[in-house]
Amino acid sequence: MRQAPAIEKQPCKTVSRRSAWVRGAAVVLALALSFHFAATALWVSPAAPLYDALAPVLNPYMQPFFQQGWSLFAPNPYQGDHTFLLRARWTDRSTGQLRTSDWVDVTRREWSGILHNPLHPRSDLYTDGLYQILNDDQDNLIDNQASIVERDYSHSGWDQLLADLSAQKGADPNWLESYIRHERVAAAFATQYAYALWGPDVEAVQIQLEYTPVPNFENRANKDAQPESFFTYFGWRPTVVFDGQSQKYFAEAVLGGHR
Amino acid sequence: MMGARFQGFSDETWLAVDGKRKALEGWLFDAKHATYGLSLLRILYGLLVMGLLDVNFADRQYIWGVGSRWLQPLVGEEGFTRPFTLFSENSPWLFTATYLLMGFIALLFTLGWRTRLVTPVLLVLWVSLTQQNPLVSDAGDVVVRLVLFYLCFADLSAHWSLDARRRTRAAAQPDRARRIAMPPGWENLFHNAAVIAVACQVFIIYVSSAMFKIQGSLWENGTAIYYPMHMHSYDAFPMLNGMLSNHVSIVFVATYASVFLQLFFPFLLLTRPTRILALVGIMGMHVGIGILLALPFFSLSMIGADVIFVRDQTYARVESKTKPLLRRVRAGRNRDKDAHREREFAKGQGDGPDPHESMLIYDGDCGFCQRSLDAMKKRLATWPRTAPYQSLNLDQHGVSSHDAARAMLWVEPGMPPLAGAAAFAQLFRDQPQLRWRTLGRMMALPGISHFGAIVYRTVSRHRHRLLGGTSACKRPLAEAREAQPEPYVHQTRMPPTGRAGQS
Repeated sequence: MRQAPAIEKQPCKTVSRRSAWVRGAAVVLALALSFHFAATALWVSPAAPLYDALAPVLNPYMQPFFQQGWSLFAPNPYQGDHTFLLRARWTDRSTGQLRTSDWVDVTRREWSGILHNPLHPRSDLYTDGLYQILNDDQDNLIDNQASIVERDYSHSGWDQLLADLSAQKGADPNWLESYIRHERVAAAFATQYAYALWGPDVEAVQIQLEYTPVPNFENRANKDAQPESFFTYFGWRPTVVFDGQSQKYFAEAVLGGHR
Repeated sequence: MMGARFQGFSDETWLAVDGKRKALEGWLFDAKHATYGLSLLRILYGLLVMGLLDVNFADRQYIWGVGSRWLQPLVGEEGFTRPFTLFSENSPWLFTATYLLMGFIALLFTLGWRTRLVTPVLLVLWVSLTQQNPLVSDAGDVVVRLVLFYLCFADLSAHWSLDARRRTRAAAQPDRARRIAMPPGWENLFHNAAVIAVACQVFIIYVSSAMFKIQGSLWENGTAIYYPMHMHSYDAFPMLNGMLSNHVSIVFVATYASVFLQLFFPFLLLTRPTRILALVGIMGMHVGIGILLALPFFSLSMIGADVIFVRDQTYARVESKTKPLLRRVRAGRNRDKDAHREREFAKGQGDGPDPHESMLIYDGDCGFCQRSLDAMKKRLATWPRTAPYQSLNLDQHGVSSHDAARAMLWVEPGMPPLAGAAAFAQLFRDQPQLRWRTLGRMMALPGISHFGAIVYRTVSRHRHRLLGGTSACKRPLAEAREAQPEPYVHQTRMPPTGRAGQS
C-alpha cells in the first residue's frame, strides 16, 4: 500500500491564529475603499451640490490619477458626422502673389482608415477629437465673441484675438485662456498638415467645422431625407509650431498609407 | 435573565452575529477569490496592450511621439507628472525603444511572469503612454488604468501562468522552494480587497453610465443606438450596420437592453440565473460595441473586467473538461503528422539527404543570424537540420531566394513554409520541455504573432549592422547559387575558401 505523503505528518499550520494586526488592516482597508468609492461615485455623478461642497477634498484626491467620466453616448448620442476642414495661404515665390489652397476635408481622409477596419490606429480619430474641443468651446462663446473668432488674425496674432475677446462684456479670463489654448492646438495641427500638403512657405491657416446630421430614425428609409450641414467658421490664423514638433514624422503619417 | 435584556440581544442573536463575522473574516482571510477570473483578466489585458501597441505601431510618433507635439498644451491639462512621463522624451529612438519595451512587458504580463513586479511597471508605462495624447484617448484607457491599479494588490498568476508553473515545481522540490511572500492572511486580504475594488469600479461605470443615458430622450424612445451606428467615425461596416439598424425591433431591444443591463448589473449578479443573463448580455453588448461601433479596445477593457464575475467553480469545471480534450487534440495532431511522414516515406521520394524532415533555412551571409542560432542550439534540447539558403536548391523546398533572404524559414514537407518569428515559434514548439513549447504556442497566438513579426522585421532589416554582421562577405545571389556547395550542410562545416575575395 502507498504511504500517506510525508507532508501530512508535519504539524498542520493554519491561519487560525489571526493576529490583531491583520484584522486592523482589514478595517483600515475597508475604510479606505469606502472613501475611495464614495469619492468616485460623487466625482462621476452629474453636478451635485454635495460634490461642490466637498470639492476642496475630492479634487486633489481624484486628480489626476482617478479622474474618470462615464457619460458614454449619453445623455443622447451625437446624431451626426463631425468633420474638420482646413486650407492654407502662402506667397508664391515666383510671382510674389498671395495664393490660397482649396479646402481639404481632413476627417474624410481619416474615415477611409476606419472603413472595414475596427482595429484602426487611434490617429484616425484626431479631427474627431479636435472637433469636440472646439465645438464645446463654441457653445460658451458670447454673441459678439463668435463673430470676432471669424475675423482674420493672421497678422495681428493670438494676443490681439485674446484682447478683443476679453473686451467683450461678461468675458471670463480663465475660460478665454483655455479657449485660446485650444485654438492654438487646432492651428498647430492645421499648420503641420498644411506644411505636409503645400510645403514650408505656408504663412496662415484657416479651419472650419462641419456638422452633417444622420437622418432621423423615422426617415431612415427615405434617401432624399439627408438633412443639411451646419458650418462653424474660424478666421485666418498665423502658423504655430510648438517645441519639439517633428514635421517629418507628421508628414510621413499624413501622406503615407491611407491618409 | 435581566442581564440578557440589558445587553440588548439574546444569545441566539449574538451567535448569529458572531457567525456572520466569522464568515466574513473567512471570506477575507482564508482564501483568494476570483483567482481564475483575475488570471483571465490578466491575459485579456496583456493582449489588449499588445494589440493597441501593434495597431498603432506605424503611427506611433504621430500619435504619442515627436510628431504629436502640436497638442502639447492639452497634455498638461490632464495633470500627470512623474513617473507617468516615460514617453515624453524628444528622441524618436528612445521613444521607440520604450514602446518596444512596453510590448515586451505586456507579453510577460500576459504569460504571467513575476506579475507582482510586472503589473506596476506595466501600469506606469500604460499611463505614461495614454496620457501623452488626451485628444484620442478613449474610455477604455481609463478603465485599464484604474483596473491595473487595483490589480497591483492582487494575485494575477494563480492559473495559466509561468508563475503558477514555477510554484508547482517548487512545491515538488521542497528544498528548493524559497518564496518571498507575505503571510497568507495578509496576502489573501489584499487580494480580496482588490477583487472588491475592481467589482466596485465596474459597478460605478455601468450604473453611472446608465444614469446618464436615462436622461436622454433617444434612449427613452428606444432609437439611441441607431445614430452612432451611422456616424462614419464609428461605422466600420456600413452594410452590416445599415441592415441591423433598419429594424425598429432590433434597435429598440438593443437600446433598452444596454440601459437596463447596465443599470441593474450589480443586482443581477446576486443570483445564478440572473448572473448568467447579466454576463452574457453585457458581454454581448461589448462585442457589439467593439465591432459595430469600431471600439474594440474599449470593449475588451470592459469584457476583461467582467470576467471576474464568473465564479472560480465554473472556470475550474470548464478547465477540467477541456484539459483531456486538448490533450486528445494534441495527441491526434502528432499522430497525423507521423502518419503523414510515414506516407511520404512509403512513396519513396527521399533520395540523397532525406528532405522529409523539417529544416531551418537562414542567411549564411549574416554573422548575427549564425551566432544567434549557435547560441540557441546550445540551449535547446532538439535541433532541426539547419542550412544557409545560399547552399540550397530552394525550389526543392518550395521557397524562393527572395523569401529566404528576407527571413529565416522553417520548411517541413506537406506544410506551408513558416517565416521569421513564426519559424522561431515552430522551433520552440518542437522542443520536449513545456516551457519552450508554451513559448512557441504563445508566439503563434493572433496578437502576439503580429507583434513578433514586427520585432523580427525590425531586427532583420538591421541585421547587417548588428554584432557579428559580415556584410563584407556579401555576394550576389546568382554567384552563390552557381557555387553550389554540398547541399544540406551546416554552414560551420562549409569550407571557408571561395567566399572571401568574391566581393
